[in-house]
Amino acid sequence: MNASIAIPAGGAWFEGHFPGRPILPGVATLALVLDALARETRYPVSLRGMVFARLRQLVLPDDRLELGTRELGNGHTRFDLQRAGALVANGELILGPPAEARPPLAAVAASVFPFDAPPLAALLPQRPPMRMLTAILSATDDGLSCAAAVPAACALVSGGSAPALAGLEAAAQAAAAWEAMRRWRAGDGAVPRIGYLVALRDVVFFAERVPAGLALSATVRLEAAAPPLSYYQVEVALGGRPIVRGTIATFLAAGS
Amino acid sequence: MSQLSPLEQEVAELITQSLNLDTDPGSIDPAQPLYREGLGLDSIDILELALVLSKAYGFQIKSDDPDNAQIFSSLAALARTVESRRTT
Repeated sequence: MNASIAIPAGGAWFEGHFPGRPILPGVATLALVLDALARETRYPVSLRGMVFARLRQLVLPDDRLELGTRELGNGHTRFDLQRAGALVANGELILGPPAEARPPLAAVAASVFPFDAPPLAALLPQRPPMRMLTAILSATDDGLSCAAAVPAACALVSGGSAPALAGLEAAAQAAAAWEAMRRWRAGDGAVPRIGYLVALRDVVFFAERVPAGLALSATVRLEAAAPPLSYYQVEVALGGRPIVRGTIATFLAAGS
Repeated sequence: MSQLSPLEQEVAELITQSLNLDTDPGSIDPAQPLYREGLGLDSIDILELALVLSKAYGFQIKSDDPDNAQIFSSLAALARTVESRRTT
């Protein structure tokens, strides 16, 4: 299947991501790929998981992208997204209904207040309506648990909910907040830096969509680091039930 | 098609598996560049690969290692580095 994807010149997709530096959020790129797949196949597409996805180049306002997809023998779908012949993103999708959730994980410890941290605006470059974190719940040497919500005004939201992919944006923001807190604790001041979501692996979705405005928990734990690249195990849950789990990699932009 | 050495074949399998390449490991030309115009890897693939190699063979390749351009110049060069630096 081949399709063209036209990125708008501005507007909701770029609100708050980032002020003065419009970049399409990585999860929005993936959401647009799924939309195009549904449009071309004229059939609703639900995402059960991703074997992997690589976001290789920034997607900017007014970009014209070409999507190619191919079904693999195992029922997975491979996609390549290109701009003028250069690979912008690729991955292997597992389409189908969401996975059955295993029993909920033990609740995140919420007993660590009072908690000493800079305000979120000093940790994260994302601004409303693309900032999803609402509070830091607990921090450890290797990870962070946050409260989050998908703002109703976020471009991913339609009809009161967003694709569960939005949960991965919340997780990426939790990873960015953890890195910013680590810099702050090391005495480097609380300065937000732009980090890009560059890779996703072994992602499993337990819900198709996530309602806007409801309190989510986003937990990230550092799995490996090869600076400026960091890998995190992530889980985003709603009311103790998982929405999405997987591994993400973020890349800290130089001098951002 | 070039014949890969056993270690080149092993490293090629590690590359294609860990980076989910849609490429038969045995079909990689050992002299071909791994970067863009060759196998199509980008700088983040190389960082990922460095991490995977460190786990598999017990040696570190730092992202600021001045030898990186040489180490990752081709499958043959990478296999030579693994051969000389591996601890496992």
